Amino acid sequence: MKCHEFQSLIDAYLRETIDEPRREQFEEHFFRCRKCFLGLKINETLQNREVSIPVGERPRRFTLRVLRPAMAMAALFLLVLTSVLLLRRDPPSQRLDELSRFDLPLYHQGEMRGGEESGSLLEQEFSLAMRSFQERDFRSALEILDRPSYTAAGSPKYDFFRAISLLGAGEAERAGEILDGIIQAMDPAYFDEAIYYKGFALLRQGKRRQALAQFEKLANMLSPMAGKARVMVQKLKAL
Amino acid sequence: MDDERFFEKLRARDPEAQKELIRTFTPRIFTYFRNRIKGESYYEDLVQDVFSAFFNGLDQGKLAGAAWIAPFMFGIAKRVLYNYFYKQKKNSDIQKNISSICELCSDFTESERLENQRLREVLNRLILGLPRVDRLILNAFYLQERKIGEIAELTGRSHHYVSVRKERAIKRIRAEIMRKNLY
Repeated sequence: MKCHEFQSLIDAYLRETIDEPRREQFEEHFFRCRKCFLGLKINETLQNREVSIPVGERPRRFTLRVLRPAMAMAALFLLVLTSVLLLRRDPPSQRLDELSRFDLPLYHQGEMRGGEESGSLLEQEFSLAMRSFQERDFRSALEILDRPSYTAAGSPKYDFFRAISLLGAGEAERAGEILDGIIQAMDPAYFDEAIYYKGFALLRQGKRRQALAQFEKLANMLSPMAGKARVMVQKLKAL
Repeated sequence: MDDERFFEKLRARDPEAQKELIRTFTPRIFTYFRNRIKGESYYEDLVQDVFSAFFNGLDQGKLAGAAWIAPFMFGIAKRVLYNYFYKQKKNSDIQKNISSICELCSDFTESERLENQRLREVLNRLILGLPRVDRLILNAFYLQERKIGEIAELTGRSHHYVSVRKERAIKRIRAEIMRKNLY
């Protein structure tokens, strides 16, 4: 006899309505099968009314009766506390973080701004560096742009993109120094952009006021970057 | 302990193995006799007969292995029952005989009573943990002796629903008992 058949015959066995051949099979089965015997015993005990089966609402245990509301209150308190802490988190600094994110300056393959083309080998490698740069893989770009051959080249193009790569790689101070050099040299090819990104370098160093002054300076200039600078000024003033 | 090791220990009359065997089969033998001999309340002698014959058979090498324990035990219980019906008397030598083989084979009725009492306590506790609808169904079925169809009508549920919930409730209880090895 299989277990499922046994289960279906328990009631008949206990009420003695089972036929004799099956009864013997049934009995033989429960001698062998612990699980089925236990099922039989449970049914037998229940049928003999040896246990009580209360039908009312389940008596709530201490943990449910007392601790559940307490836990609910604790959870609510934690929720409120978390919300308050989140709200109290310095929003200007959060927004400042957002503002210090910058769009990459445009770069065109074979860009000639900033003077004559340097040695072709440098340019070839520069193109490789810019490929990484455009994918925001600033570290890879810097592996090329930080080489002495590029730093010694004195090209505002190399310097500018090295500065932006440093800015993207989190080295705002070094980036700022390079940008200062470009600004001081007053090379028209990268001058405006250098001022603009110097603003971001300052923001990233937490120098909000100086950054604002930088953007304001650019905003008041007759420059294609003035519009973008004005947007930054507005955003910074709104903080 | 695996079955064959258990069987070897039984053959070597290991007291722990004997105890385990008695613990496993006493409730089954009682259940068997209780359902076969209605109206009687004293099965002690019959249970002793069964174990006596079992251990004798084991000593005589009548069991080929662990797989034969349950069928062999059932066969003996059946024979003891038939003997009971035919003779309706107790073999006075049994008590002495079994004591020499198995010192633990005594007071089966008391052990059965305790086992049943334990089961009742466990059931009372587990039933309380069931959802209310399951308790309603079990109460109506077992205590009020209502049929599944009647319960379905009373609760406004289908026959299938009531039947399935009842079976599942029993299965849940059984699984919990087996998981915690409560019986």
